[in-house]
Amino acid sequence: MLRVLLTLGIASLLRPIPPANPPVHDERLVETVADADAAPTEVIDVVLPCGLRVITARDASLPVAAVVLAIEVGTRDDPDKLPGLVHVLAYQLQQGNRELGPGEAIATAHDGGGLAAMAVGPGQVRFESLVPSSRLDAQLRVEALRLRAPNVNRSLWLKSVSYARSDERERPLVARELIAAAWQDPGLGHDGRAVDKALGDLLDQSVEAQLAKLFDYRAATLVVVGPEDPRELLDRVTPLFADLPARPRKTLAPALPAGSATIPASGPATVEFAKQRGDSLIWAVPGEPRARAWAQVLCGTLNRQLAGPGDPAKARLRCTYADDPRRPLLVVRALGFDPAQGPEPLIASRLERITKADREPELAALIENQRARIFADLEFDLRSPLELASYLSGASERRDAMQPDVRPTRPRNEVLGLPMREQVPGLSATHSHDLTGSMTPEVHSEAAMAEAGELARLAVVALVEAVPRLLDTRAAVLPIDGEPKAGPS
Amino acid sequence: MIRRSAILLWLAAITPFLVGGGGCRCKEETLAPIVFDDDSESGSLDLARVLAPAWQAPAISQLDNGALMHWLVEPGDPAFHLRVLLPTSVHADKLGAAGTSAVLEALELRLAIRLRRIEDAHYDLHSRAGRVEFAVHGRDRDAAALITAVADTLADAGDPKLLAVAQGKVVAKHREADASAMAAAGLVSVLLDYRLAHEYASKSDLVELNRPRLERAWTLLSDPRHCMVVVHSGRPAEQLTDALGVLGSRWKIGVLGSGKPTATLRLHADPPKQRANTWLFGPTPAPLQVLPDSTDLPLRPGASSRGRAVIMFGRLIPTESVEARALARISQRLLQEELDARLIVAGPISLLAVRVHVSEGDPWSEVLAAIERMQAMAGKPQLEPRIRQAADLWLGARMVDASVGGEDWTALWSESIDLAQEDREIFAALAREARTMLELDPEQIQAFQTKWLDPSAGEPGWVWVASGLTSTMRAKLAAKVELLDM
Repeated sequence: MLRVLLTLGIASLLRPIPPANPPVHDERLVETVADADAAPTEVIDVVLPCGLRVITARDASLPVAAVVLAIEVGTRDDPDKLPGLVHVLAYQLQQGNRELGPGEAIATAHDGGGLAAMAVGPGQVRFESLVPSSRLDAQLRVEALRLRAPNVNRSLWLKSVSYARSDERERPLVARELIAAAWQDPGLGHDGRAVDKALGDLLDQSVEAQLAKLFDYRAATLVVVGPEDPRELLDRVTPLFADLPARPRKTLAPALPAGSATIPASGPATVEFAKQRGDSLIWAVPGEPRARAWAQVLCGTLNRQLAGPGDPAKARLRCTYADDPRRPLLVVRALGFDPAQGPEPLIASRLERITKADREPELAALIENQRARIFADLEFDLRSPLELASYLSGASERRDAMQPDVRPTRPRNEVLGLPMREQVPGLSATHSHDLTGSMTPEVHSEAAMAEAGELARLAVVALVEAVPRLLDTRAAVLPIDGEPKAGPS
Repeated sequence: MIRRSAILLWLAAITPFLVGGGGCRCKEETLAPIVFDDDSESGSLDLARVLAPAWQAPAISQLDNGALMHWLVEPGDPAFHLRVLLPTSVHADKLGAAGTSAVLEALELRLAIRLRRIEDAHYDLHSRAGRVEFAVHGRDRDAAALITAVADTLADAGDPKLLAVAQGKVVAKHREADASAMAAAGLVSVLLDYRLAHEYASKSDLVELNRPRLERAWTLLSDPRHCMVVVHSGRPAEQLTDALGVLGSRWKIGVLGSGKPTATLRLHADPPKQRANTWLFGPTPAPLQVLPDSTDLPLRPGASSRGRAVIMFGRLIPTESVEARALARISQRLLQEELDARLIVAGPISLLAVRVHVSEGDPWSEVLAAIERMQAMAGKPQLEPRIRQAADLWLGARMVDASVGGEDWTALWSESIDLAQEDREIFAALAREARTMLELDPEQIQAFQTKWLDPSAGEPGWVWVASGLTSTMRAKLAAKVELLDM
């Protein structure tokens, strides 16, 4: 994910003003939310009548608030003839509209001592800000206006193109062609930061049409994390969008690789690409928090898994997880495998052992240990409001979100997709605490050992259930060298 | 990690701006109980408005070695922060910047190795008014390991061999300071009546450090009877009794005693015995003090003379009340919109410094222009929106910076100590400063500026220092003002 610290220096001194149209009070929504009990471990996750999804959460450590507007569009949506379009359009959304001056979105944060940033990824664009809580309303107003008829004119467009062009290019961990192959999505095969010359020649009408088509509140999520109760935060958001017409939320396809409903009968699919050793398999990881977390559990397990009885003497696996909110990848490299067979049998055998780890207590304990480690890592990493808000913007949408009687509160850890396993009925207090993610406790008695074994078994079940495709080599791609080799002269 | 220059103490606090409980056998019984102000007399604080952390009063105790400890608890916080505050003002006459640099390098060498073994642990070094600080950060579950790492470091970083190695490293890294840093060192030493060597370590100062001087620097700086430990944890100190016992027993210098009983007494520097009674102009004009090596500094290739010579003027401002501190801060923020002005608040006194780059063409008129701008600003009331915006920016940036920096309350607590006159004020110092700042009116600010920020009228106490002057500049300035070689 590209993260661009904005340095647009157009500081408008305009004070925030209320929206032009008075907000309409949505009785139904307010009633439903007021009834809900938003405990500190819960977040509110609702869809407003205008189709915008809103997630609010509490972090009271400091009087600051994080606001993230995430739109489910990314560089993969660039038209073939206009690579880099989404990146430039994201900059154009900093250029204001009828009510916001150019650069005012950024200045609103900066004037209060806050910060503003923008992230453009293959499947998501985010506008992120961290402001003192006293400035939250002003920042919410910015996000409530940002996508409404953005300013479009030649001069501002050329500025946006220029800003996009001066962004640093990034080198992905995995070649873009391989990412596209793993995801079976040709849209991922280009550099979304490369600004095509044709973009500078785009007519105003085309820019306007592309903005309207790609950047829509109905495909967006607004995340607010602040020191207040999530309900109070939602109460501050709702009126700002009440003047938008009621429209159903856009149906967003989950971030899954093409054809993910089934696992191919044969595989892995080979992909020819230059300078490949043919020793690695690449998986597309579903772009939602739960799968991302369990992919990391799997990766940690693979890196520590002991050799099986049938493995070659020096066989090892090296797993790397390349994170992205919507298009993450898992890369497993095999070392010391039999060249005649390739890396797939070795990797497949290790994965199969993990799938059946309930028969290997040590391996199951390792999986549980990795689960607890990733749980603790995520909790630690998400302790500040901006990190939490940014992560929450990748949360999976509820299938029942649009139903009127749906409870707006959700467990925070569930929304975050933290790698949890089921509770064991009658579990001791120590182990119950362990369910929240602390490291596996010391085992002192037979009963405790049995409990630990049960916990480990449940971790295996949860892993297999969360990321079944990652445990099957047929769902991966195998990059092989596509360069013609020079034969003997 | 923040790289440290050889310029320390007050100067180091100003230079970055200018150039860019429980069962720990803690001696609670020896401490007078502190009832922290919570501002209840004026109603409950709206934290969102005054922008202060939602912290509870800390548990206060004294370790066996005499170090004072403030323990802040944020239930459930997965992070752990521990900050050790080492005063440099207690033995300002004996402790030089060179010795302090070597000691900090030694601490860094040991700490870096120990923290490498602890997941997600890191450290940083800071300089504040009258003290240096180092902080370790990591996970709360590793709190015992982090405390032990600090204890072991403070126990063995004073090893003479390590101090010698650290001295070598500091010498190798040393770069002569530019004119701005030199001028800042000069101004601080003049205002606070310190030796220049207390503020700035030259290469020769560093080279000349011998074993007894290194050991003395270690003893003076790390004496726990003068130090403070501030902790921000997800759990109370009682749960880390053993580790705190280790900290209290391993970190010692072999001298018994309790030290001063409160944080503000330990950390607030005594005001200078002699204060300047001068203005920049007028009946008793201050001589322009010229740093001795300023004409000898080689010009860097491609550097213009404008960037090379600096005149810095400033003064001490008494800030014994919340209102005075808020007025000083907002005045500086307003002044900074036009000039390079900085303010360091340290409880009852604050230090204001204004930097002016001068060129060979007409150095005097450049200084004069800056002074006239200050006078013009003091001559008219500021508009309320401008005041409010300056306050919002200062207060908001403080909290946003703290959030981005890992939500470390110990850094904010350290700042609160500087904003408090007595310990009981620390708890609400940030909130009070913020609230007072938001309630200031233009007339109050104008009156303050007229009194304290007019270098040719108002209260005396102004001094100025020049660095990097060429002989041509000296000649031109000598025609306008008395020059005095430092």
